[in-house]
Amino acid sequence: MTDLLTVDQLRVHFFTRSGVAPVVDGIDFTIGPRETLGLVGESGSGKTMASLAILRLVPPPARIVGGSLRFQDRDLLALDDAAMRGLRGKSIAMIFQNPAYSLNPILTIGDQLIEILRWHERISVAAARDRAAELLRLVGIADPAHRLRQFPHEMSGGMKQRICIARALLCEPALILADEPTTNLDVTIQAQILDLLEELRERLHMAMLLVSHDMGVVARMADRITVVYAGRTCERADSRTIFHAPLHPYTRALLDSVPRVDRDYEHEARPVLRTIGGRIPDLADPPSGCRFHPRCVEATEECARLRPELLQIAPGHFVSCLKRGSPGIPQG
Amino acid sequence: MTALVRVEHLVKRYPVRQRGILGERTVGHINAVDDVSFSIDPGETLALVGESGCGKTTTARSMLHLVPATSGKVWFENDELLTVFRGGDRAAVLRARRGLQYMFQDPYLSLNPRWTIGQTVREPFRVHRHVPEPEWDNRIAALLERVGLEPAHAFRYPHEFSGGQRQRVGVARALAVEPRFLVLDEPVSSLDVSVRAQILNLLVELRAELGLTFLYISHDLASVRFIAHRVAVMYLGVIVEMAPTDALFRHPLHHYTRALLSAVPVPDPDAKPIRVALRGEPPSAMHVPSGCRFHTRCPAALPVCRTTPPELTQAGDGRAVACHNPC
Repeated sequence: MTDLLTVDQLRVHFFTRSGVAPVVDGIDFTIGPRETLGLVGESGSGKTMASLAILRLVPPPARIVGGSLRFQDRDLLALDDAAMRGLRGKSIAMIFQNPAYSLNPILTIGDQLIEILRWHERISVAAARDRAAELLRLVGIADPAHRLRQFPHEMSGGMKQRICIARALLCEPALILADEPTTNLDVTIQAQILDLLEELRERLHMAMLLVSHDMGVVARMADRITVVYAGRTCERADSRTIFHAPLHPYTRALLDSVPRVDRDYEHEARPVLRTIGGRIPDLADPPSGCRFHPRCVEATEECARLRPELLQIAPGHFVSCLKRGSPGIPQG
Repeated sequence: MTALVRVEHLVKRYPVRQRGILGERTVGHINAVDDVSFSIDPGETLALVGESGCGKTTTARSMLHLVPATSGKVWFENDELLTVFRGGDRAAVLRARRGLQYMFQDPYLSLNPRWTIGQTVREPFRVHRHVPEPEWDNRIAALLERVGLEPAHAFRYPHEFSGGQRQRVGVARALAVEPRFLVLDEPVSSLDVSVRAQILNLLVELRAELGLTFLYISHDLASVRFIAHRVAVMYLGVIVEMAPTDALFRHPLHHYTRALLSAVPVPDPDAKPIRVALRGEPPSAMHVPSGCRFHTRCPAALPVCRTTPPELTQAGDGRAVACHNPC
């Protein structure tokens, strides 16, 4: 099976007056057709920047400085701006974290959806309106004709996120990028939106990149997972391996630090969660060697000196940790 | 055991005003909190859970008179707090406030950006004067160390700290008056996973060492399961179910609780949860459904649910549920 999207050693740097911050410094993953890939990490891990880079939308002062992005056998970094515009929203669409900010507050929902269709296709306004209404119905919105005439402020957060999903689906993209699509929603609404995404992905044969910090959401949705820390890939594997047999110390620590909704703590006198000591590094001055070494329980002297490379430990299971045998590159 | 905190028939009603040609007029009311009662024992942690707009934060804020309650009583041991707070006797109000403190959700908005951490933690000493002034600096240093910061951090400003560290400052400030009861309003919601665990551990540690009692407000049910002894579930301004934590998570009695719990994604790809999908979204608090407020979305609604609001009634083993047709 050829991959739909291949991201290889992606690097995005922030160029500020006080220096260069390598916020994405070697993130890799692949997404096959109809597959959901979970990109997991905490704030500052570079997961959002990586997803924006796929659409070449990284905001200045950030720039893509290295790596390769291949989508349907095309080199995304070599496309000219017009070709890239033709791709965005058409072949690759994005669902942003905060639906309130990603809809235009002074245009009706109808205007916003119709504009996208008419940008990408030769279609009359009336036909575009019908398509938009059909998609609103598809994402579970009752009375779509009425909703198309409404403004974003007239809707709840869950409704707005449904609109954003409908917008992403307008041109039946091959790949959807969903950046924390349910983070600001209540849990019952989150469940509805996740159900909807899963159902639509299957029905419309799409692939999805799901960016999230929520291990529960990723466990539910993803076929494979890439765990990133401070701009670099720690571990890549199928979802079951990541959850049941993780190898990277960060993946393990991350899983252990989440309180479990399916475990009884009430009858423990003083329940304790395993924590990761220290704090997320400042990427204007990233740690040397392995970026996780200052917080890692297994770190040794060489971890501060050598940068670990991804090693394929089992078919499809990659890890970058010197303690797991990954080759290290000396850093000057 | 006598309860430390008892809330009786608490109501918070907001007028809904609309501007017309004859000026503003009241067109209706929202009962953000509608007759809520519960009690918390010393050393116990009660969690108040529910989705946005269910009234959990308004309940907690009304208890401390951060928003004035419309009616109801809040007992802290033998004092009725709302009478004290309304009475306006400064000495009495301060005495009452020393017993209970509020810790806010957003560590970025709840610290004064122009004050050093030391000034922020000093403020309770300055207001309450419960400790002689020469001891303040030692106390502040001890508090900062107790919450996992360094005494030298007192000279820094909030912007120099991460979210987790700021939340530690919030804990230190709340503990400065040596309260016995803390309201924790979503204390970990804005924090990263790894930092969230550190703060949860700190809260559990402090609870054990200082014998603190918590009201823990959250929509994050995994953290609730971790920290709470008992849980009260709110929906549209009322408590629909109250039970010991483990019992509630294992066997919810109210259909809303069940749906809420089943919606929480479990961090295990092999988990096959029984999903109870809820139709639609919570109705607006302006138009509360008749009878049981949940009947419009309930999978097990009976005709009686449309007409008669169910009372919160005892269901054995320290549990209570407000439902005509429990699970």
